[in-house]
Amino acid sequence: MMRSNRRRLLAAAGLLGGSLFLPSRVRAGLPRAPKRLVIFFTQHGTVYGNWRMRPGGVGDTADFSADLTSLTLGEFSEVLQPLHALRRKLVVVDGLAMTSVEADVIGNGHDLGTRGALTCAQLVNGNAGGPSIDQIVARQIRAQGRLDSLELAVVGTRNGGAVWRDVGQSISPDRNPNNVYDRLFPTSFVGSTPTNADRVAAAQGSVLDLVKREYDAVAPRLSGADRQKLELHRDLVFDIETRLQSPAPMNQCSRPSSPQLNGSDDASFYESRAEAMFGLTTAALACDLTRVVTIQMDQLNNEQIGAPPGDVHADFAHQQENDAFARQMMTNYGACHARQFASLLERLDAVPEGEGTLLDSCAVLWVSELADGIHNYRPWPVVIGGGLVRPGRYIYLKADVPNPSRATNFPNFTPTIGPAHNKLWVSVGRAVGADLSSVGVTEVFTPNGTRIDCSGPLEALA
Amino acid sequence: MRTTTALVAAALTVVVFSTACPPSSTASSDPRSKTPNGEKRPPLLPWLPIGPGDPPAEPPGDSPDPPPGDPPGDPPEDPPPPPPTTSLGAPSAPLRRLTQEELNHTLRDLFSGIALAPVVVSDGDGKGYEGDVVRQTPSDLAVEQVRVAAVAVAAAVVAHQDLLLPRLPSADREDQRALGHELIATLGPRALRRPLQERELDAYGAFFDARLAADNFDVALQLTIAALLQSPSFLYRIELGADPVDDDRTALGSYEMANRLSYLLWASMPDEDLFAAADANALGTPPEIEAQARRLLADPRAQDAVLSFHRQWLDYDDVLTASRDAATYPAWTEELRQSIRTEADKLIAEAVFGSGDGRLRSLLTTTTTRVNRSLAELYGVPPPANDWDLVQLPTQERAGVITQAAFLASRSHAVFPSPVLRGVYVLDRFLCAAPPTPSSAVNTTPPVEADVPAPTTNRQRYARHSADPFCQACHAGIDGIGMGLEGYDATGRFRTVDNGFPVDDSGSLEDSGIGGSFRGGPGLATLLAGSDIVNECVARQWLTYTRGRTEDDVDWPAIDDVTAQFRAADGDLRELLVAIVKSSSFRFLPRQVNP
Repeated sequence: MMRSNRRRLLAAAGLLGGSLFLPSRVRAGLPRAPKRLVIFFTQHGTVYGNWRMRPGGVGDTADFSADLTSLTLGEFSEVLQPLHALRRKLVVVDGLAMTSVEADVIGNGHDLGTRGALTCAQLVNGNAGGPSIDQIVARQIRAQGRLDSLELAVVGTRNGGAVWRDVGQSISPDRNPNNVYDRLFPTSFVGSTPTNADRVAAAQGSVLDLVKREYDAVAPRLSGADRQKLELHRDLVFDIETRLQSPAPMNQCSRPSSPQLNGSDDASFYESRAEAMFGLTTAALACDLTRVVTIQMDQLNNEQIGAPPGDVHADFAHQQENDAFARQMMTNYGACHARQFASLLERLDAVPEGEGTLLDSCAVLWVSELADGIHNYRPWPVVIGGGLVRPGRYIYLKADVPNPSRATNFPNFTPTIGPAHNKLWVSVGRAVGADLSSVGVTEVFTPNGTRIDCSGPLEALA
Repeated sequence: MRTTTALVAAALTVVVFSTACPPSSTASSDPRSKTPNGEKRPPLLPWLPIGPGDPPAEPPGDSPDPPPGDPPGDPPEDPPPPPPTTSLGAPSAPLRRLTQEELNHTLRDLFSGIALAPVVVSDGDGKGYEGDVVRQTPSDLAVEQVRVAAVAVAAAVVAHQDLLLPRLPSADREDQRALGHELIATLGPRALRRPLQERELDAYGAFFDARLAADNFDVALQLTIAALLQSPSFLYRIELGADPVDDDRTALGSYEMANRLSYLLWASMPDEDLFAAADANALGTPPEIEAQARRLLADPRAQDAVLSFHRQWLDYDDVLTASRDAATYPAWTEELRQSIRTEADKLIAEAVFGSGDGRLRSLLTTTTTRVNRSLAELYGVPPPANDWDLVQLPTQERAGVITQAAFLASRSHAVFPSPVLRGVYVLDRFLCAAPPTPSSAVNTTPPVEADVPAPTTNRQRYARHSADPFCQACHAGIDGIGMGLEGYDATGRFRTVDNGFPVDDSGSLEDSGIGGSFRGGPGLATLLAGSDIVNECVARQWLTYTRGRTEDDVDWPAIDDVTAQFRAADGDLRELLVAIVKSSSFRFLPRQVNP
């Protein structure tokens, strides 16, 4: 009953196709919908003028919260138009600042932003100075038998990656959809006359048990960070052993089909991997194999944004301020990601759960390493999909906080900026069930000593 | 356009699944097979004694075969744990996991004679060398990749058990249990690269017995090998240290030193000679270490390590994914990119191990390299009789690694070469003085404004951002170098004309700490080759690569010591490596500080 119902929904959403591999799942599955966090991380920020909206003509001088659901397609900004159909499940947050990054050393904007966007921590030895929000949440809501978090990359990461376990501990995402599929849905032997390969597969738990005991024996002989590293490795071995031996969540799901990949040129290659990763994300969340997913999106290709040959980064992103053609290319760039983000949200929204859909129990954040292509850190564009942060709103936050940047002589320096992005992550973390009072630094100071509070939630999101 | 797209797609495939492709130096081109007489083959499972009917293994060198059974120098069982550390002590020599390349080399040497598909255990994200600990955070992905790799390798080994089992010293072929235990006792010390403790022999033996009872011999063997390949002592380079030397330093154990030497100089595991030296505890004194280092450097495997360092230091793989505008550069094909990448290795190998003198100066100024037909066309020399024959490039146009297409093309845009990226690269890699990239709100590409006359040359286009005094602070140094390389287009081809105007390839190092002005690539190379700053920087790059973590203030004594020896050896890169292995930082662990 439920199955055919969902299939009809999926067909209606245009999602049944070569790349579909949604698991089937019975309605009686989870007693109460768990809360999930998904982060969709893109490059080069946006073209602010073509991203923002000013519903009803309200200005920039005062905070406002406007009804997103009543806006027509034409009233949506050019970048965000692909998300118009989903506006009842969206919050647009306009005006935040990556305050901890502004206050950090002067350096490569891409590197600093990539390390600070999800951590809100300042660099240590050139590396992120703390855990990213996905890892903070994952550790709080972890449960045995479930993957703490799933780190994905579409094509590849940039600038050393945005996901950090802790200070100086980069986490490498999985770029290979087939590999992700094998990790989420390991094959298990079900026949009656096992081959040797079946026997080897069936005995993996016993091997991992021995391996875990070896880490147990060696780790105490080391100290400090080295010991912690081996203990972490041991814990991960144990997690995999547990999942292989008792794949409990699969009780609610049947095994989906594996991803179908194609891509004869760079654009279709990228799109194929993106759709595959969105499908895997949906499957992993629907089957409750994990509750935290990060998807790091590589830089888009020229063909995806209708651009002529040239370097997207150098020739378009960096030029968006003073060249109309480059600005249009980067507007297309933002709209392309908006289409992809919409595709991810539609997939989540196509899975019934409880009285609503899977999307309703998610907070799906679209953020970037920068505010725009010319390396500004504000206003930082944020779009939230899902039902955990009360949707249907456009929230504008005025810039009335002193700018802590030391680069006061830089051409685009502004004396005031919006609220710190740390507060967004506190609010989002709480929305998905984590107990947080701050993320990253709790305060920074301007060059003349004015204190800027970076702790607590973003009240406007309440 | 269509061509470019297809090429980029092909290149992207390389990027995305590069970890799934055979490492270039392992699968098909084991340097040890390239012996002069062409008949010598890699030693078959060198840790196994020679059995009846087996092909002769490599002569074991000066050392006798290690006796079967327990080697001497078995470490004491479970020594007491070290005192806890505080963050006040010097940064430790961090615990390092084998990189993907080291892992594949190790498996190649551990199971030599058995063809293994390359394994995928991704080196993580980050900007440092692949072995930098920042990139080695244990994750579900990494641990699962190790498990999958171990299963696959163990399956391949068990499929070739005919190579293993007949040569086990004493086991009764009919007694499967004894056979399994014999294999653990023989393979174990090589896989873990140190003698096994009784506890470990018992644990792996009991595991084998249990699987033999539950499954069968082949399955038990495969699972036991898979377990060994996932153990911390296989996957990581665990250094517990031996005896304290003084208040600050602890000596390395002899097996730990054997591993340090082989992974630096071969990017692989120790060989039988090195294990024999460790067995005899003969890796403690500088002369002992130096003798082994010189032996390792004379082995073809040293080329693996030296090429790996240069690949990472000089970003040689970047050129594989560099896309060019097809209308401007119709000759820019996948084949040409691959050729450029191959030539980068060949120039280094020739300068350090081939006809060159192994001096840094030569690396920076040599015109001797190897080319195929398409590269000969790019470099403007007659096509070689055979691909990859030795050629001399024109001395007025080329000089060493900074005039290689691999560097010049990877630091260019689709149409125009980038003096900025080229200048930053030279500052970062050769002077260890990377300028900060512009942070917020700086337009970082040359503008193409409508209200000023179109630039005549690339130099003029880029000169515009030097006009802004705000940008001058950094760009005087960057552009001083990069503008001097305007004689090479975005594919690395030499040019004297740009957009119909003569190329101005004058450059300056006045703002880069070295001083002097120059013309063109050879002029820049000559200045760099004569600079002590460059000498020191190359020593620092090698030390950072060796250490597995970013440089710290406490590293300066080692840098000064090694640089002095490098200078005294007239910039001989092999002597630089000898100096590194004899240095205090390589021979000792910092003693942990008791709180």
